[in-house]
Amino acid sequence: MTKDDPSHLQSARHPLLVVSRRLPTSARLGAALVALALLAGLAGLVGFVPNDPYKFDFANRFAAPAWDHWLGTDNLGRDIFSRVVVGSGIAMTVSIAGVGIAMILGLMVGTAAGFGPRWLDSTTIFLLDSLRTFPTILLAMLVVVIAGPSVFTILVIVVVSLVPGYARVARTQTLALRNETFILAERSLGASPLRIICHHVIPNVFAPLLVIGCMDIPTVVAIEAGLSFIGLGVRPPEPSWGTLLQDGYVHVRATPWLLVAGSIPLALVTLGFTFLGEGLRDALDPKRRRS
Amino acid sequence: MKEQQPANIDIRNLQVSYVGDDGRKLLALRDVSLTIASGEIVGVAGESGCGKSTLVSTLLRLPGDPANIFGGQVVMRGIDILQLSQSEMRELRGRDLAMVFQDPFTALNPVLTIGQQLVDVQHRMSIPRVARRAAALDALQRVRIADASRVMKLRPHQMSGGMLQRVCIAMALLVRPALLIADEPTTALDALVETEIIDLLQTFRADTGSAILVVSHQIDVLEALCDRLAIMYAGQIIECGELRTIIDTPRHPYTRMLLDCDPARLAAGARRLPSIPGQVSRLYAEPAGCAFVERCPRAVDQCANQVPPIQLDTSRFARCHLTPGESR
Amino acid sequence: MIEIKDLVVIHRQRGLQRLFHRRNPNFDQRTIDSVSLQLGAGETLGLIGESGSGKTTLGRSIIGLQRVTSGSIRFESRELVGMDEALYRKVRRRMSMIFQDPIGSLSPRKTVGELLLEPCSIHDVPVAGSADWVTGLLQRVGLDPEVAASYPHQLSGGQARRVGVARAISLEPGLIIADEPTAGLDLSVQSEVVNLLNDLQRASGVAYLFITHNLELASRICDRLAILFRGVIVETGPASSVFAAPAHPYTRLLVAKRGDRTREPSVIEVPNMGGVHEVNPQACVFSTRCSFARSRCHESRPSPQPLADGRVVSCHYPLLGDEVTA
Repeated sequence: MTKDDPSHLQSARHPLLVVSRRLPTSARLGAALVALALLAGLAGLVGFVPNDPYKFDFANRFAAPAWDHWLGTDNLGRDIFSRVVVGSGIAMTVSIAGVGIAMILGLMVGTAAGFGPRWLDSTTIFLLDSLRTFPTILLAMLVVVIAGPSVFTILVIVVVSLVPGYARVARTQTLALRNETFILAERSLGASPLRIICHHVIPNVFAPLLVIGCMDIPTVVAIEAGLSFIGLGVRPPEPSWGTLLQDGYVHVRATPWLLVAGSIPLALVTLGFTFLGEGLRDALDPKRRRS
Repeated sequence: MKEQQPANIDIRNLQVSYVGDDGRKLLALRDVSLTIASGEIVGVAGESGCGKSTLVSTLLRLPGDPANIFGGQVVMRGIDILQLSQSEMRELRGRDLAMVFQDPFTALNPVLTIGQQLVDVQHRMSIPRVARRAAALDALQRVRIADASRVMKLRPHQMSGGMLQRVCIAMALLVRPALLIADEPTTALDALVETEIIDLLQTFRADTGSAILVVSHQIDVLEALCDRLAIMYAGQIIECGELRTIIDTPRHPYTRMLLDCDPARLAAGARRLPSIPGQVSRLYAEPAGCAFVERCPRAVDQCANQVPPIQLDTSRFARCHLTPGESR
Repeated sequence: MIEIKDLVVIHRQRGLQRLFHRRNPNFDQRTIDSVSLQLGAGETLGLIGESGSGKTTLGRSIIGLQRVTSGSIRFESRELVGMDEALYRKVRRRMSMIFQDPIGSLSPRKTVGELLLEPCSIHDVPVAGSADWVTGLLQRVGLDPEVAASYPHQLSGGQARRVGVARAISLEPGLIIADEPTAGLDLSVQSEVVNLLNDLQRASGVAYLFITHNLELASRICDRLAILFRGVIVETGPASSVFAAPAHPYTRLLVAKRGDRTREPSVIEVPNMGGVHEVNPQACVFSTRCSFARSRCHESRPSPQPLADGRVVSCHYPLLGDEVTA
């Protein structure tokens, strides 16, 4: 077929706007959960919570859920619900900042490697692979020992673990794009490699990365919770979901609500971002785009 | 061996629509009728948007095809194949229907050897594997590929476009279909290879007696290949008849203008090429009169209001009321 | 304005192929084998070749997208071969290229308007009113101003082609390399594109290198033709005389492709497992396919000989007149 279909110039739609029309129900559900998580995170960060998450109340330990304490109280009488919300602030900050920074770094490194001279590519691959083969747990422990446990430490660990994978994806996409006609056309106009990478490679490459990043957020949340659970992350009295789980595990006979508080949000966030990520991936898939 | 005899294909009053991206119904084929006799090569010419691709996909009725066939029949051996179920259509494809696609590079499986694919295509035939291999070799030789036994071991990426197209024709030869559909068979190929493929298709017809439908926007290819020619515009066949009659004395202004666009027809040194002003419009509803009226230099008031009568000369028709004198 | 002398481009095979064929001195194919061409200002030179002839490689070598092994390309009295890349990018303001795939050559996430403004932004050419600039360009190529807001995938092939032309002319280059500008387009759209290119040439005096395999089209619209076969220019000359009385057997084959039924249908050569045609550098490159080949053709390469009426042909036994000379 000749490529000359008469075109009704539809109102020009940016390719990404077209995407939002195509999200299936599961993705919309995911988006809703994600929105909830983000709201909770924001609330947690600013302290918009019903009760003071740090306030002890020994008279009221292990209380059952009630109007004044929506999820009850923990072993020190603190409001579980408020602690969950503050914990979500930590979870969201670490995961979104971690994934975000890793994505930016990975994009930069990957596109440079894919588009630049061969020696740059080989060196980068070598470095990235070396980093990737280093076991995460060992790395985490190493960093914690050096820098002390804190949210910042977790962030560093997360970024260092994620960048090689993102860089690889960016690199592969860039390599595929490198010989596309429009890239050659840009070169023929005299565009410099930097310009081509910024204007033409990155916009076409970051879509798969976005999807992967989205699906990685629950992983990072889990990493943070896990590290906090074993005591290498957020220290008490900061209420991370991990510490809640730790407390819940210890005091499970006294109240199940701590465990619930630590695990359900985690599950919901995982579901939410995964559904959203899968929906985005299908919607952004260029093969499904009709003319 | 093949038991069935070659057959005529009779397309009658086909009406097909699509739902476009914006949700509106698009008329793709409007009252299309065409007969392809066994052993005959019929060409369908037209530009983008005329419906020739829809015609091909309607004949194939591949699953997942979003077209809505809301009228007409396609009769082969007394059966309307449009009424067949998908599993019956599956029987038909690869036995009575074969196709040669536009892009030979993607028409074949890249991981299997040519030999494997040629043998596979004979899976309906109850002959032993050894015989299939021999038939495959024979088919390759008949499409004039030297060193056929070596080619059997090659994979598509090791071969040129012209060779791959020959292999596709060889595959169709093994099927010995009642109808061979060639969709832009030479568009992706070079000039000299074009000629060879044209030769091969004619040999195909001579060997098998199949009916052949060739769809192309390249008039010069159709001119070298076909017995009869149909010109499509905006979902209709606007002119159809014996090849030489259409080419030498076109009746419809669009046919004339289309033929004029072919550079081979121009005087040497003519730097300015004739073209057809305007654009093909998509039809969402049956137009009151002729679909070409806005672009036609010979249009009169009558053209916009009445559907042009179909004139039947002995073996041709044209959807235009202008007499030969007027359409000059 | 552009002069190419003895250009050689060798594609080096990489990896395992190289390992297996190392002993074969003919292994590194000469995609472009000693090509010499000239093109003057305001002229249209048609470069005719089939797939594998090297025509696309030649086009890309001129614009610097393909590395050249040896030879010279002088453009506006500057030597391009071996030029530093940063300098080459500046040269690309004076020449541009139209690629074969009309929609694929436009960056998919940019609007037509953004694509049209790019050349100015790349070469730091200030533009007073960008919307007016874009509208002006679109009008010059016969497109509606509304097209500026569209994305490439929303355009038809003909429209995308015109956008490509608009980008190519936007900085008034001296040379445009058009690689199969009409491929895949409907006949009427082909005509429009060709007419557009002609009009632009008349208005601005730009030179075209018109690369195509369609000899009929090229003979009508080019001033001169150069016929390329497997990296070797076999014939050049004024378009009408090359087409009317081809001197090289290959040109004759191309011209007569439809009418010549006396020709034996060819049995095609099959490349060996590496996909490499064995090329004998001592023989005429067309000798294996030539129906007029004689012993001398297999033994030595013909050098270009000038004929009357400005033609140059590389053949030991050029076809002069209608008969083959003895």
